Amino acid sequence: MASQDDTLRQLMLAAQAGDQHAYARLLHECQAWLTRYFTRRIPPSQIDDLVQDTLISVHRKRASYDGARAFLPWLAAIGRYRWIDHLRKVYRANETGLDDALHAAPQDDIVVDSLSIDALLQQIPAPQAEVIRLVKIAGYSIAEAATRTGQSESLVKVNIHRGIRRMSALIEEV
Amino acid sequence: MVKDTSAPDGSDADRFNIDALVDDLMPVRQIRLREGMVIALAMMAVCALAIGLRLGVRGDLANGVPHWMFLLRSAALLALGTAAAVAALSASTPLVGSERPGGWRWALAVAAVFPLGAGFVWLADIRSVDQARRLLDPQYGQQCLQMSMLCAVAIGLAMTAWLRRGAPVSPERTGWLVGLAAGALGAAAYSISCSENAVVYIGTWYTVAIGGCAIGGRVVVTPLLRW
Repeated sequence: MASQDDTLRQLMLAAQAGDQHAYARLLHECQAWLTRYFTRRIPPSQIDDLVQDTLISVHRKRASYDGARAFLPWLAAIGRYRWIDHLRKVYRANETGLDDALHAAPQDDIVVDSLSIDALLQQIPAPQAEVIRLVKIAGYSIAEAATRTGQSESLVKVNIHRGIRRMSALIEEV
Repeated sequence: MVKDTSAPDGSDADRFNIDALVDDLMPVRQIRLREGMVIALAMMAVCALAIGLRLGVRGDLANGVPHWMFLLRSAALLALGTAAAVAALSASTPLVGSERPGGWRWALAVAAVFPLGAGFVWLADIRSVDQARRLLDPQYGQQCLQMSMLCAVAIGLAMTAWLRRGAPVSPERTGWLVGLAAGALGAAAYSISCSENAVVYIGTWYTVAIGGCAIGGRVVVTPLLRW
């Protein structure tokens, strides 16, 4: 995932410099990513329009991408903004509450999957990141993770809980 | 030639395809936070200069021996304004999964010493309307309010214009922060002329000015930041 992000980052930097070939490749990658991102959020019949709207936003706001940062969090933030804007329009038309819909929306698991997990893990305390890597990614048991890290089993559980909660907050903080 | 962001010709939405965006591609310069900060702080300096020329500089500052209360007030206002401006302007670059600058909360907590102190004086010392009127000096206070907010409008407009080049994805939060930053920096600009040193005066009038600007930012700036 990190290498995919790095590739996209390089393509965007080239696009900002005016490289049309890189930009075409970048937009096709974004189109595929956004289609997956919106698939579980809106009805299939609306996905193409929302992807197009988002790609136009990417185009208009491409100067706002900071080349020193990862690309997918930037794309996800724009996709999320357009998605909420889309929901606002839909629910305004239907005269129903947007807040309920947002709260009922699925968790950002696609974002979590698609963003660089490593980047998120780097932003939480090392003991939390270490046990999340062992238990949630590598598949070790709590006891095995405790042995490997020198943390008690209860501390491993607490660190996993706190780390995941912190990562969720980071993803939602846009 | 480097060009800022530009919209593609969306006149024929049915013919949208990626090639249309690619054909429209022009080189762009990345938006930099420091440019926005320079603009905001430069606008504050212009406002301070205008205030100094129009209303004059307070005596102790002009003599090079500023009162400690002036220094404390200015430091709190500048810290709050700068921290809030950093938080507001960093919204020009959208991100998921990264922490936003949160230093403004600490600066706000420090600056809250003034309204808290004023509240304490109100409760403990002020016993009559006349006494309150003497301490608050309504005529001078209104000038303080008007000039601070006038400076804040200029600073807020500059920040908003710069932010619109970016892609803020939390317009409500950013609107609050623009108002807070502009209010604090505007008050700091006016502060060079304000000769009052009483906590109850500063904690009342400056708080009203900054709070009003924050609310104004939420109401006025937020719709301007939607894209």
